[in-house]
Amino acid sequence: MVKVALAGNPNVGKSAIFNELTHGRAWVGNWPGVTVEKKVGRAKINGLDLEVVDLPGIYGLTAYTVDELIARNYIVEEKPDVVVDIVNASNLERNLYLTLSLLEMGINLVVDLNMIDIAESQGYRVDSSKLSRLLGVPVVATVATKRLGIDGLRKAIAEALKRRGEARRIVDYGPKVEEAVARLQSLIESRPELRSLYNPRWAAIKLLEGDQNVEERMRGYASGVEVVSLAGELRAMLEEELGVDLESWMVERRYEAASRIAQACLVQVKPRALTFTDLVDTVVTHKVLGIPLALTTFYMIFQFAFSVSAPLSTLIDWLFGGLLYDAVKGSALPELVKSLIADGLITGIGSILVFLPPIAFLFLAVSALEDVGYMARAAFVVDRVMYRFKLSGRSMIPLILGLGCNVPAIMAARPIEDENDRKATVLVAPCISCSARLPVYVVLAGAFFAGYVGSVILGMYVLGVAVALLLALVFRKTLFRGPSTGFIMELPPYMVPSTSNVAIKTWERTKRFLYKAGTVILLGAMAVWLLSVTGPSGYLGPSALEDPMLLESSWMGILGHALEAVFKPMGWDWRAAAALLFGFVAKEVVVGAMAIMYGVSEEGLSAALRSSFTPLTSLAYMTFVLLYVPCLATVAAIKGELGWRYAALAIAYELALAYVAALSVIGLGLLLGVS
Amino acid sequence: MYAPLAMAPEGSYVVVEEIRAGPGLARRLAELGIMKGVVLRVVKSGPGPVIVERPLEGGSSPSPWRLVLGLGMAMKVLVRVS
Amino acid sequence: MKACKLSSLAIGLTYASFAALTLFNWLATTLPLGLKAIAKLAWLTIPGDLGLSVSLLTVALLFLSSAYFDPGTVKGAASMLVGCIVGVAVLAMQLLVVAAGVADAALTCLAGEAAEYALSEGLLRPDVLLGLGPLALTPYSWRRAKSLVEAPQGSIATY
Repeated sequence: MVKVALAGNPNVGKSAIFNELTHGRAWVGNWPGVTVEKKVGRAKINGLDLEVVDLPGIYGLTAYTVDELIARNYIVEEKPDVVVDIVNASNLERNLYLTLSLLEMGINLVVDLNMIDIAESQGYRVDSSKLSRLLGVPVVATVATKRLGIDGLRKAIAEALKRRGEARRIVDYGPKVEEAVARLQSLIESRPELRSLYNPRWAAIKLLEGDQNVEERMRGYASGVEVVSLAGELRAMLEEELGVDLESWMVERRYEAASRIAQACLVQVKPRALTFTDLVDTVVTHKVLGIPLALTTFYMIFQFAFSVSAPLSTLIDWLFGGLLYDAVKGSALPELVKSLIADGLITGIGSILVFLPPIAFLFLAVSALEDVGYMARAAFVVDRVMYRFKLSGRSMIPLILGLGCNVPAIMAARPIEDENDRKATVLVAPCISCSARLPVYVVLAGAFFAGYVGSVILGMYVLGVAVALLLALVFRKTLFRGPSTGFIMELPPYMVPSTSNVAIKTWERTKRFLYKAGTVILLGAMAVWLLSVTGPSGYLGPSALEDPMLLESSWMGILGHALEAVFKPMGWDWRAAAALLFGFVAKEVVVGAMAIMYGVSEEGLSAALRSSFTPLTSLAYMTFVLLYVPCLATVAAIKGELGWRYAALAIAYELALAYVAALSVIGLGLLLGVS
Repeated sequence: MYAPLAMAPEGSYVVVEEIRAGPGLARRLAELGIMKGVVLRVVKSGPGPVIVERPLEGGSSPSPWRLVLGLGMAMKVLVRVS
Repeated sequence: MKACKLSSLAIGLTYASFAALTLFNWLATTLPLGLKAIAKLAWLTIPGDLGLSVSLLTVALLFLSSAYFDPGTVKGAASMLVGCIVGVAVLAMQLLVVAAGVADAALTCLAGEAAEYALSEGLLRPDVLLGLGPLALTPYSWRRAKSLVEAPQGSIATY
């Protein structure tokens, strides 16, 4: 199978190009051993069937980040027939750094100069033929969002397939270093087993840089060990002579070359002293005005996500809770099956899908604002606040996404460079009140704080954010100690958002929520159902779901009673306790579980709760639900990012925190004379 | 005397003299174009996060892409104001 | 130019007063301070929503800044433009919310339950009505900003 790989910096339109080439014939998996998504597709060029792989967005080819390693290893091991380097024409210098790095690997490269429309709006044109000459590879110009130049790209790929890649020497590392490179190179070339591992010059360069990944692989061979130690010697010698660490030297030389080439190929068409972006930024990043602007934006994101999506949620609720449910219950299937499907499956899935609209709308809003370029400014504005909690402005987006669902929020924390910041953000994200917790607030606040419902809910959200930030501070002072290094982020020019980009990003984030719904929650919903219709005395039958007396003797009831002792000081009865247990699987299930246990429909729940709770205990309950234990899917996400130990830590600390917090609410209330 | 980038006055041109960071961060900065000897223009200054751009040589037009450096990062980049 | 400055000032002050009113209403309905909310001013509904108050305040600040910096300068023109954008966005968002409310009520009816929706309450609000001002001003502020951007080098007051 002929293989084509797409490489490039983040945000250069790689996804759009991928879609143009594959026309949607793609599927998503995971790169082996990591949680990074792997997009593979099929394209047809000149009658030839190709496999297209979308490599992760990277800035360079070091061995320090997962994304870079994935891209490198794919190129080295899978040996794609053509690699398309997608370059952002309006940021030529930085993008060419990667291009030069790729050229050193000795692959068959085609450069796709994308986003030339943006460059033009900035007053620049790129001389692509000159660029092609200087780089020694074909250069095609495209505007992926407007579908321009794609045919040219296809032709270039087809042409390139007829050739073979060769290493190009464009970067000159200086006479002394080049000498060392040559020595290592010839040593590697003299050994056939090493020669076939990597492009010899590339390997030599990497070894001098001290690349751990390449060293490890080389050491697998006896001859390789010799090469690695020679490289070590040479490196020490050169660093002594040059007075600077060799890796930095090489990076600088490479950047100089990229700069040189960019200068040579950029043609200024319109001189501009002030761009539109500059103008707007005087206000948006203004020390005073920027903050209310950011707050307003957050408020509007919130409104959009929750209020505007409401009719869709109502629709889904009607479909599942109404139509489908009634249809199954009215059918001629056996009682058990009916209950299994209706009370288990449909209710379970329905209660989760009801959240799809707010979550999708939230992600849509955030993705659109990212594409416009505002999010980078917002990060800039909140950075100062974040700094006080020892986080960086980069942690803002994950925490905002957490308002929809904690799972994609945790994934969004991955690009945070500082490991300590990243770990703190991931561990703290579950405190942010996700939309799954909302129904609990609505039902309880509705029952006890009529008229102030909105404020109580707002209070919960604010509490979540406050706890998250304070906890981050605590973590950064204890477990993840280290100065907050802050972040570095590209500030792109303002652009009209491209619908395809936004759609793709929204879908990718919403997808994670759906996977969680489809898998974990499904199992959880079934577990709830199973534990309700069976008990130590045996099978109780679906009528247990209607009859609270019967329910008490089911496993659910037993567990609830067992927990009641634990929650005695909070005054929660066994039913509330059992509902919490199921919230561990997915917080969306709590209200449904409560409804089952109080033997009412969800509408009647508010009334029923008044007999078991008091305003104070309900407030404590809401606090507990806010903070206790991340749902199963979130735990899985934490485990995926930080490992089992941190996932366990998350569960433990949240349980403790929630318990203490709920207790404090009760204590405070009693102190104030409320009951 | 070198000052951290976070303190450089708004609108000034600075030359990067030293990067006080571990190899990981230094590399990340380098990949994005901030290394010793590079000239930057301070678009928005501290105290607080900083926005800089790398003016293209010879051109007085601003380069379209800029970088935001968080407070912590901006304290680690030492520059000379020119 | 003077007219420009004055209208920015006027818009800014109007938004500021409604921001204050909305904030007052929010305090009255959230905190047990014994305040009584001013739910209606003539035929205008004044909601008691903190987020709304912040949004109105933001627009106010932007327009006031525009007057302060003078709309002829870069900062002034930028403030006016962003003020218009945010004002229009707030207006548009409320329209979306109203549309969603109507759709929601319609769906509930379809499902067999009764539902009602008071359009006047959704539309006769400061964010909608005041928003008409920025809406009208948008083409002008856009052109003003464009003219500053396209001006030849050196002739712009630097910020």
